[in-house]
Amino acid sequence: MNMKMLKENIIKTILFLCALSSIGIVFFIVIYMVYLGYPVIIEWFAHGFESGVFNIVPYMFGSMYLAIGGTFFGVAIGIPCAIYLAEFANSRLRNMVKPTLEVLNGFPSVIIGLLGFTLLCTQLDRFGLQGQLCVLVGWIVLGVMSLPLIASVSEDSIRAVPQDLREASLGLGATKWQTTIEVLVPSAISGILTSVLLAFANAIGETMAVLAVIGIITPPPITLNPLSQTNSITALIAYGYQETVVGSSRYSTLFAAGFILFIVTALTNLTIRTILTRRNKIVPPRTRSQ
Amino acid sequence: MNSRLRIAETYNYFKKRKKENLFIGSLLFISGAIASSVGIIHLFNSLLNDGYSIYTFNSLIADILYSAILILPGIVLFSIGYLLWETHSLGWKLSIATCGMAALLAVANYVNIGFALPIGVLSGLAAILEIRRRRTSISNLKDSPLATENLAKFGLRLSGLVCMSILIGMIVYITVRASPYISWNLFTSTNWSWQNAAKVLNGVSSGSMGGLLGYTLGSLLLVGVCEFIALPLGLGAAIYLSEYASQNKLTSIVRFFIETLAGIPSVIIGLVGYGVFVVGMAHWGNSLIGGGLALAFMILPWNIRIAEEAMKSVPGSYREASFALGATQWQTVRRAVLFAALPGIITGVLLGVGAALGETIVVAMTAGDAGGSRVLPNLSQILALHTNIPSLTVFIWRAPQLLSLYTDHQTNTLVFKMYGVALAGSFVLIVIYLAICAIALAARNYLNKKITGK
Repeated sequence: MNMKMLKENIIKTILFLCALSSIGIVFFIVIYMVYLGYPVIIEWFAHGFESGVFNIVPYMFGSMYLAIGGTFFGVAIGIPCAIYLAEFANSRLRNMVKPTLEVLNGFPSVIIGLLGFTLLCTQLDRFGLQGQLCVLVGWIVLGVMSLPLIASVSEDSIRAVPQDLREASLGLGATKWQTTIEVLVPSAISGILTSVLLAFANAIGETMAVLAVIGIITPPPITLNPLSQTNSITALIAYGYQETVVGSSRYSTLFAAGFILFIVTALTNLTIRTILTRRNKIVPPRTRSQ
Repeated sequence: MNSRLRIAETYNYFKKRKKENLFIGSLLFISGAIASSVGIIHLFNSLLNDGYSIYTFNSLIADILYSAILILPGIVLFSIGYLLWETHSLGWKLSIATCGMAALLAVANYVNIGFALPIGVLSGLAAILEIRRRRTSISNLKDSPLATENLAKFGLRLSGLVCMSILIGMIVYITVRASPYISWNLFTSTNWSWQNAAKVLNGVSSGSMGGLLGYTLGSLLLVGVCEFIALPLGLGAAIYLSEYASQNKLTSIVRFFIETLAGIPSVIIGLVGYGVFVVGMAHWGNSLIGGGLALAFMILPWNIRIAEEAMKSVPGSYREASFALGATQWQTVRRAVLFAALPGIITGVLLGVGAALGETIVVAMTAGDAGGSRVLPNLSQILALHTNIPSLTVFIWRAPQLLSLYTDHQTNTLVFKMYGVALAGSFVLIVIYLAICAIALAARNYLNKKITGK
């Protein structure tokens, strides 16, 4: 009996260590980035991001602008798709679209970027737009990347709205569309917001898909023109790592840029967490099977 | 019953107002007809034009897309006009939609002012008339819910179909563009050489370009090493979180860090992997182990989440039954919970494998560039450090650049062909990826049926 207990305890400890491993990995990554990038990071935080060995502001702007526009494109198709799947679709179409989203979710981003280049960048002038590599194509590519995430997470949250609310609204004489717009979407808004923020965090960290289509120029211009070329922090790191001498100030700049990127994504995650915990306090979570 | 009554009411109401409907409908009808005719003429011109020499397939697609942009709003205007003729209720929302369509058409036709002007004027006029009519007419009768309903349903269905057509369109495009380079050889032989491929593209030497099996195996090996580390670790963490841990401060902190790890962009993991394994403390150079470890960091939170969700959805009665039979916690987990959660875990892990297979930047930074190695190194070399591991995704990324190293002068045709080679690599990757996804989804269906016994 004692041996049994011992075995149980050993297993429990091992499992606990497994659970702790991700904390260790996160700490390791952050500490390593700070360790290698601290001269630049300190300079940035002490004297502003435009000063020091490297001006990161244009790159931050490029990343933000790309991510915001890309998320917007994803929202424009993803949320209607989620509403349709959750409320209107018959089971046959649902069974066709759902797996499509799952497949699209893990679709290799390098291929999406390549298609963005061969299918859109080279053809823009046919649509009367002057420009080849530009932010606009980056938005479309990021929209395709974030579409499945937004659609599936939003759909889950809309489906999780209690059935009573639907029935009450329909019972009051509202049509299905009115029910959806005025009852279901507002009550699922925290889930929808979560999906949008998740997509934003993914878009800001996306590398391969945008690399081929935004026309890496240094330094990128700070302009709102969607037909201008641009650059991003991810592209800075992806193209910079081979060309820098290990230990040089440029090398620390890459790690400092990575640290900035990490802070942005971590803050987004924190926001998501706050939204979700607040939601859980107001409305107790209910299982879907009810 | 209710809806039928409402249709009848609406119909009667708008029957009286048939004259205005007819007039506005005709305006929209005419502008729609002009608009679509432009697109149709453009489409015919482009199909009959044999002036394409390079970019043929691409420009055909672009022409069809462009014509579709011209034709679609025309058809929408057309059908709105038709609905008005049939005295349906449309409401101000549709009037604004009409205005938007007119603006879109005017923008798309801006080169062709002769067409843009009548369309803009006619549909703008129709929209203004419609808005004025709505304002002056009895305001207490709201827009018919049915029309809005159907329109909304149509729009929503369209967005669902867009999702599907994006995936199918990408696959079809890759297949068509890569078709000149696809052969059985591409999948089965390992002798890829950039020099030879560039010669074949230039037409200097004939024969096959060689195969990508080396790259494929490299990708699969990397994912194998990655899952070898991430699967046990992820399963262990998920079992702890869902079966052993109570809901307290510690587990919520652990969860927060798992989410943070999931949110870390892959380029950061690649950079840290590069710093630590390739040039940093360990100084391994490019290696399979380093690449696999970095990929494992990336895929670990995915595995944890998938496994935890699958185990959470196992009903509590399974556990209670097992405990009642005298099983310990670990026996319960192993025999009852894991077994019931198996379909979810297998599917999720396989989808994660697919995602890891498509990962580029982490692999490029830690496991090696595609340029140096052409064939898969033998086993002892693979396990050694300082070995470039070829992988499909890096092949796709680097193909146009590496090919251009071996060509003297680049014409447009040649560049087009180089991207064709990159797309051939994409085709191989997609075949593997889709196969993994199909297995994953089929496994879920099959095992779900088997376990629930239906």
